[in-house]
Amino acid sequence: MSIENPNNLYSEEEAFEEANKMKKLIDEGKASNYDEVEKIINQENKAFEEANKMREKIESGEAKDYNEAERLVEIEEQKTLLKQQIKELVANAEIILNSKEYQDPEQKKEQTKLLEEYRNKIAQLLNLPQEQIYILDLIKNNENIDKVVNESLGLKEKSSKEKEEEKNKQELDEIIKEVIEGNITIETIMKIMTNPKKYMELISSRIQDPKFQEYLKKNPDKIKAMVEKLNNFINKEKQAAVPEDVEKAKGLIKKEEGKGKESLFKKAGGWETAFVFGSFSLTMLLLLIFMGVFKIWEKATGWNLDVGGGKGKK
Amino acid sequence: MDQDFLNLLPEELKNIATDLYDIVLKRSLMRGYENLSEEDKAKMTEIFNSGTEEEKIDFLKTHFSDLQRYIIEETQKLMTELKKD
Repeated sequence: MSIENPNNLYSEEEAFEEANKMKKLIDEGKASNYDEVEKIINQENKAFEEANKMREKIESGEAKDYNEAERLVEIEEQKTLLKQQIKELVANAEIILNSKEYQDPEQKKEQTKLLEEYRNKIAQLLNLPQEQIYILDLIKNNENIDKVVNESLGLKEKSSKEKEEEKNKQELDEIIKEVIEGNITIETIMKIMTNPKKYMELISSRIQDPKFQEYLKKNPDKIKAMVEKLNNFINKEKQAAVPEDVEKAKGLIKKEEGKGKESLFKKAGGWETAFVFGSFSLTMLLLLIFMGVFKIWEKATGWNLDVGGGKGKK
Repeated sequence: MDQDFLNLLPEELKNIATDLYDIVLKRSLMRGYENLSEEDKAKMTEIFNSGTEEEKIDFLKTHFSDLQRYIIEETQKLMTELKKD
């Protein structure tokens, strides 16, 4: 903040720093005058701003990598510029429509001609036939401008269903990542347990992903290696002695799970475990399979999770 | 849906899924069993040898009330174990 003028938020330090920077650019021969220096600084600021926007896109999960973030920022800039140009033309058209000249029968023809020119310019900018431009609609609501600009750029506003699907997909990616990294939390397991149907459907659609199915078909050797490894683990575990009563209890639980609503556990009531067993066990199994599949593939091939539709390995 | 779902996976993986679930369930039940007194263990043997289905369910409901928690914890443990293996 300036000492002479406390309202000036541009501090003396900042002014000094900028002046030094400008001098340095001239000394280094990168600019021959202060106009050029200003141009360079503006370019640097713009690049810095863009880099920040890209970082935000990646951090928010909107873009999965740098290239996608760059593309999204570019589209946003294009959209902002186009919207600004359309808004200006629409504002001019509105002025004409509200003018005395437009109401005057003698001058109306000329004013209408002017309006048509604006309409034509808007159509050109949007790359649309003039007949499809409705000035009154554009004046009425800014959202209409957004809509035509989006359509012109081939962008479609995501429906709430699409947004929900995207959110769910990201959530599943996070779970798979936790599983692969071997740090799945109790909270995540609880989350799956309380809504097993949702996760079953999500995993089901992931398994049906053509890329995933193709990978399964094309890599029988890797499946074989994974099955062998898991079987070794299972066989070792089977050798551990278990009291007969525990085996019987296990058999009873599995039998009752298969009965679904008719399960005696469910009929007995009061035992929280009972009603989640069936669906939870299945979801859990599938997650385990996923874990096995991803774990071995990841180890054996350095496989990037993008193949399965997930996020890349960090 | 369960079967449709499993059918999307290679044949060999279906049995593995069942086996892994068995391990989790067995380990969870073992934890509950180890917490039983000798008297309750004897009672369990008696019920699981000659009791009705309802009596068995009732025993599990009363004496393995933490089973749900054990299953969650054992699932987490197994996933971590397999990752390390």
